[in-house]
Amino acid sequence: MADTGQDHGKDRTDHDTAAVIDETVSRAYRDLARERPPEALDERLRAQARRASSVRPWQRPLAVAATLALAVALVLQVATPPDGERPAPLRESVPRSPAGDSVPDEAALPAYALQPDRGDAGQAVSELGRASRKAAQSLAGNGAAVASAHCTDHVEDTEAWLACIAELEAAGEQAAAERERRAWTARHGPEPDPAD
Amino acid sequence: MPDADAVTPPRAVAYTGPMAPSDPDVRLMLRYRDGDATAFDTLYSRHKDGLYRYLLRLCLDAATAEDLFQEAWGKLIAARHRYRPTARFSTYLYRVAHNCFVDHYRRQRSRGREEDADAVALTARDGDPGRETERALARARLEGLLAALPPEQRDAFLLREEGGLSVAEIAEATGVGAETAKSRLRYAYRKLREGFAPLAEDSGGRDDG
Repeated sequence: MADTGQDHGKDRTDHDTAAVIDETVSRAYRDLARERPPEALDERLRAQARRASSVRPWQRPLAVAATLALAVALVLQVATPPDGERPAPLRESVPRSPAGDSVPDEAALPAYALQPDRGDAGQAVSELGRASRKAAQSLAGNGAAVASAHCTDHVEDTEAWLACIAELEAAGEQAAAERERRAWTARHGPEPDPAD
Repeated sequence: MPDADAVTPPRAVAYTGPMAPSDPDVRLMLRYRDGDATAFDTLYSRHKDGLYRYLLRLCLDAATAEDLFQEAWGKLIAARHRYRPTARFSTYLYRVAHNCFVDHYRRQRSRGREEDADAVALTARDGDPGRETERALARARLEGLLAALPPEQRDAFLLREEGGLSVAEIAEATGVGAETAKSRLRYAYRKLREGFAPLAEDSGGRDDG
């Protein structure tokens, strides 16, 4: 078998190796062992490597921004009660009934007052939440959000979680992968070297 | 016939010590770590066939070998930012693959679906020799002999033959002492040599007759 261009053909620094190998067996093995990985697998791995390396250093701040936006959106979503949960407050501009009841007649109310109302503050928070969610989705991508939800299924299984992160990265969802990686590190400490 | 991108495999590369600055594969991996995707293509071309055969003969199952092959390269890609050249690249790569296999083996064992290496070996030996060419027969014989080796010895042999690893590097990749690695390698070659001998005699007899 040919060498790689260096001074090969023997293990100068490892006489132990030369002492135990059997050249007859080696030749026979090399003559017969010629299998190769399927081309489709080749292409898949090359593409995965290209996608992974397409993340440039300047993209990292963008990924952080996307992560933050997504986090804010999630917090707001949790903090904002669902529509219709709170009763609509009375408006001063709404005419009271002649009997002086505190509950107005629906027919006398303007249309907007009949809509479930969360108040000005709630509405502002809701609007901000929607805007944040939209920004987060445009930055991180819907796929990342879905895959991220999938990754959270594996928080107890370190290997499965890492595999999920690798899937995100392979799918080009770098922001989501980065976020998951930070979450993994926060929970389990530094990520292990695959060679360890 | 080799394809266009089948760069010469890294067999018999001399071990040049820690950091291995002269290892071209280390330089390629560092370039890939720094964002050069073409470096990965070259690196992959140099090592894909050997790594695939290593896993194929270690697992004795093509589908599992493909899964582990993909897993090993995937881990290397995912961990590229943390890559530090502390050894020859092939030692690093085969260590990752070895770990993938060990993890797989443990998972299989825990599920009670341990591979039956003996059955695979018998299958390889019990092919229909009458319809095989001499080369195919020799291949089947080799597969049978390899499958019959204890996994640790088979691992050491394949790390040497496919990865070009030295005894010291095999010890490093498999997490055992140098003497253990040397012993495994010696037994593997001895058993294979003994298994090859009758085949060589048979071939000689046919040639002579």
